[in-house]
Amino acid sequence: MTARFHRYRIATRNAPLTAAPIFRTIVNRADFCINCGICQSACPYDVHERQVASLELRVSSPKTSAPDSLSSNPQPLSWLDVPKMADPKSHNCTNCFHCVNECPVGALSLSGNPDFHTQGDDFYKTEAITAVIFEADSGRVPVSGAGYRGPFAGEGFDGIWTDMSEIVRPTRDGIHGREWISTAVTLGRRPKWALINQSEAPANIEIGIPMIFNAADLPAVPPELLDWILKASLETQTLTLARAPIGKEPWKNPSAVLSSADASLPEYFSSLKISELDLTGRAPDQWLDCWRQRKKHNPKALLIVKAPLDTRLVKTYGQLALAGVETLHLRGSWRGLALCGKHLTDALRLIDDHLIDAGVRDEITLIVSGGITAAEHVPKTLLCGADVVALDLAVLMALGATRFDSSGKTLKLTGPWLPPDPKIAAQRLKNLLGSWRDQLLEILGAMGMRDVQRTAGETGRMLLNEELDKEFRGLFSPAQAADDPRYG
Amino acid sequence: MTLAMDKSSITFLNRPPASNLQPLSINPSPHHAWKRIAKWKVSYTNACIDCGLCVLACPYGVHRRLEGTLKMAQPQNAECIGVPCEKIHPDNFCVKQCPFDAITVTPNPEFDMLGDARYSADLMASLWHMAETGLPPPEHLYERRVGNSGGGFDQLRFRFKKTPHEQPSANDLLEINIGIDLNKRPTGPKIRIPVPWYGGGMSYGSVSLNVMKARAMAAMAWDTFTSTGEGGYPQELTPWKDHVITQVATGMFGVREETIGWARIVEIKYAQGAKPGLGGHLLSDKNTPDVSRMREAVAFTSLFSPFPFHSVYSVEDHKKHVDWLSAVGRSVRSLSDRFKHTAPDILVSAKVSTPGDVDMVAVGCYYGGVNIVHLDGGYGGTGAAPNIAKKNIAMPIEYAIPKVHRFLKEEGIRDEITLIASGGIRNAWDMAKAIALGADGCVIGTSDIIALNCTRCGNCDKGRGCQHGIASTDEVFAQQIDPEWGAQRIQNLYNAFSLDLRLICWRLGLKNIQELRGRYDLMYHMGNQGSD
Repeated sequence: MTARFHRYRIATRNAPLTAAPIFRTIVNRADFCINCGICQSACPYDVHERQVASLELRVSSPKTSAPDSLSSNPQPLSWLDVPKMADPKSHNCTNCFHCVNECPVGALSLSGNPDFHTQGDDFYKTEAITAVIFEADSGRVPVSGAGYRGPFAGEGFDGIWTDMSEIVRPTRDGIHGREWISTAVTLGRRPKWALINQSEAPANIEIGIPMIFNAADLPAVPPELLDWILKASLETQTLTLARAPIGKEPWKNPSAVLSSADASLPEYFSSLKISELDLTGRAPDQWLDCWRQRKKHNPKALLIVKAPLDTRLVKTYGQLALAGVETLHLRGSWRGLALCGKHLTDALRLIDDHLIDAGVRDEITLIVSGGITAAEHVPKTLLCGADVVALDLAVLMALGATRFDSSGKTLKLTGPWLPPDPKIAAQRLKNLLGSWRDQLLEILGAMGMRDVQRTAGETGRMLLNEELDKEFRGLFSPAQAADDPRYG
Repeated sequence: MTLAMDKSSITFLNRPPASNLQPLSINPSPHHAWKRIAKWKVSYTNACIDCGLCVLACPYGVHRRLEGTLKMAQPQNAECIGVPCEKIHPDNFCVKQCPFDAITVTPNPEFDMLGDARYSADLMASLWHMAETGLPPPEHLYERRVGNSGGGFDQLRFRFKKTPHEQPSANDLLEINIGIDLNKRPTGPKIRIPVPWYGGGMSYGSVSLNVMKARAMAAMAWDTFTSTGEGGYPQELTPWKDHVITQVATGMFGVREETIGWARIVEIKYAQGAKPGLGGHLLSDKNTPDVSRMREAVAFTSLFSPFPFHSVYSVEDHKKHVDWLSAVGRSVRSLSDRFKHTAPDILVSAKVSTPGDVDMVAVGCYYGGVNIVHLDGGYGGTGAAPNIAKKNIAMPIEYAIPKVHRFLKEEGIRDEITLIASGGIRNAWDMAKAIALGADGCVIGTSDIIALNCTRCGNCDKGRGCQHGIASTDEVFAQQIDPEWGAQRIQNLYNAFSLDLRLICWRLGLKNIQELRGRYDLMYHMGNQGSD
């Protein structure tokens, strides 16, 4: 809205967790190790080091060679003085097998860390959680060598590839032109025509990234959790959806969006510029009345309407949008599923299509939450039809909560969680947003997009495994006897 | 048969009987002996009396006596085919043969630490086996044909005409022609390679000069090609210049008229499969003074190539680009004494990634005048790429090949263009499948590197680079790869690949690998099972 040019950036800095790192590989040193130290020079990641010799040991150790009378230099330590190899620091290991291969006596071996697979739950694997932890630690884009190593494709988010453009419009310039890509989005009703009188303009709010926090569904432990999220969202100029009523006047934080299911509201609601109406617990036929009632309360404010994500309710969403709802927040399950059982991505595409058919899609803002736990989920959700995504479980992962149960309606923490140092907690969330924004820019750059708002519902810019696979299989006639020994 | 075919046979004949090939005959210094991680662990209990019955029983040479003694040596675990041996060789299974039950065979837990879904532990170990011996591993030792990615090549199987029990004679295999033409246009030099693959671009900077030399030597031995990658053309590679492709990428690092003239083929890299839509990444620590001199950049700064070519925003721009390279190549080669006896014209290849409109891109490349369209699929290798780009941008090569092949066919230009596939081609079986999907040939990179002991730990970009000395320009690290030793390993791998390809063709009843192109009827998709 302001004419002043302003470059949006998120200040990231290192904010590592104090809790013990989660690692995959355990390096074992057999007792027949000859302490030659070749492994120490073989490993650039400091897995292998010698024990630190104590001063007493050095002083009391017998000299095994005659003193060099020609030199005044102190004698180097003899072989007997050299301390033994310390236990390997397995958390540094990158599973490269270099030390295993270099060891002259075969004393080193690698094995899996049994703890590695006890993180997360049966849906969220440790690899997904450690990726988020890395991003929150450093704020950087995870980069590595060697090609992709995962499964060919999957369902939901894993069944989508974003498209790219080989030779493109001069709107992008790879890593050098990133600053010209806008990630800003506007929440609120978008009028269909230009307004002469600006005072008629509906309430809307611009945020710098298409990502907000959804704290309303998170378990309220530890008590400072909301403060950390609010601090991070204030400093990144985004928003946090938080359950009302809450203490300590968080509404004074301009980035807080109070969420309430009630019609009777505390007094401070009337002064809020933005709030959320949670319709999750109500029957869909009451939604419209409920929204009207609440809208009357404070007609000037931007009111986000939160409803469960369910393709069976497309008509109801359409009615809400036609009636004038500005912003719709559709929430999927913790695992990225709609209530009807479809994947969030598939459900969202159907809903987006329906809203386009109803002629209202361009007027409203869609916020989508639930199961968005990786950087690549953001552009994919946007392409499927969202304008903004709301992060919830990813917040907990970033703060080091690695043991939880995401199967139910509410998220349960199932294991001990050592929350991070309060000084760095908000920084970790900023790092997460910073890293995810940078990764979003990579994808936008590859697509040749200059404005994130243009990706919303841009299904032509994605490749669906479902469609490609069908075409691919169609090339081959059905298998005959698969147990024919000639086939292989 | 053409001359190139003869060359291929010679290469092949120089080696057979391939079992006589000396593994690792070059410089077996400790740094160069790669101990294959064993799949099975064989151990003796105290009950062993060193009777040596197991030595006689084992067909794979797992059990040996310590030389000059009657004592049993440490078992050669890497050769053991494990528990399945009981069924395959019921009379030779050492555990059963031992009169004192002193032998145990258990899975080696360390083997599980290797590999990932795309390159399974079995696949990597089989590549190491091939690099070591020059032969495909025993059928029962590793699953060498497919990985565990659950899609694409891993879901495709051949409909062979012959059963696995029918074995070809050496002559049967030799009769099969696996060579391909790189220039199918009526004009320009005819370049034929005796095997349907050449090496992909790995830049000076991402890998060391020793690795580039090893690949170039192996390419020369097999009369095929390797590519310089985008980091410039080091002078040291010129002894093999007839087998080195000059790559011209968006960063234009080290591109000089001379380096374009050196090559018989110039490759324009529009995009890379592992990071489509992003330029190359060379992180600061690997940009050593030598690398930066080649790239004409400041040492120890991160170098990110731009994306895309700023001179190419349309097919017409692309054509100008191709014309420029051809003209430079021709003039350098015809003016210089050095190339007096070589053909002045060069071939141009366009390396593109696999977006949704990849078929249109391929046609555009053709009209721009290139000879080779090189598709680099999304799951290809890289020295450094954001993880988000490796998985999520552009489609895998398996989907792109038939799309392009069929579109070019409909346009009536399929037989004027050489379609090369890369990006996730792991071995001969993937190559055969890529060809059956519609490619003419393949480009391989990661398997070359695995032959040099890469374990795919993914640290190529970190600090000074790879601790194995492959993807590193650090002086100390890079010494671990002796070019000659590396070339021998890659040649061994290529020998095994060529044997596997010939075997596949023979079992399909084909005499020429070009007959396999676009033969969807010779494959089936595992996912289609039960649908009929």
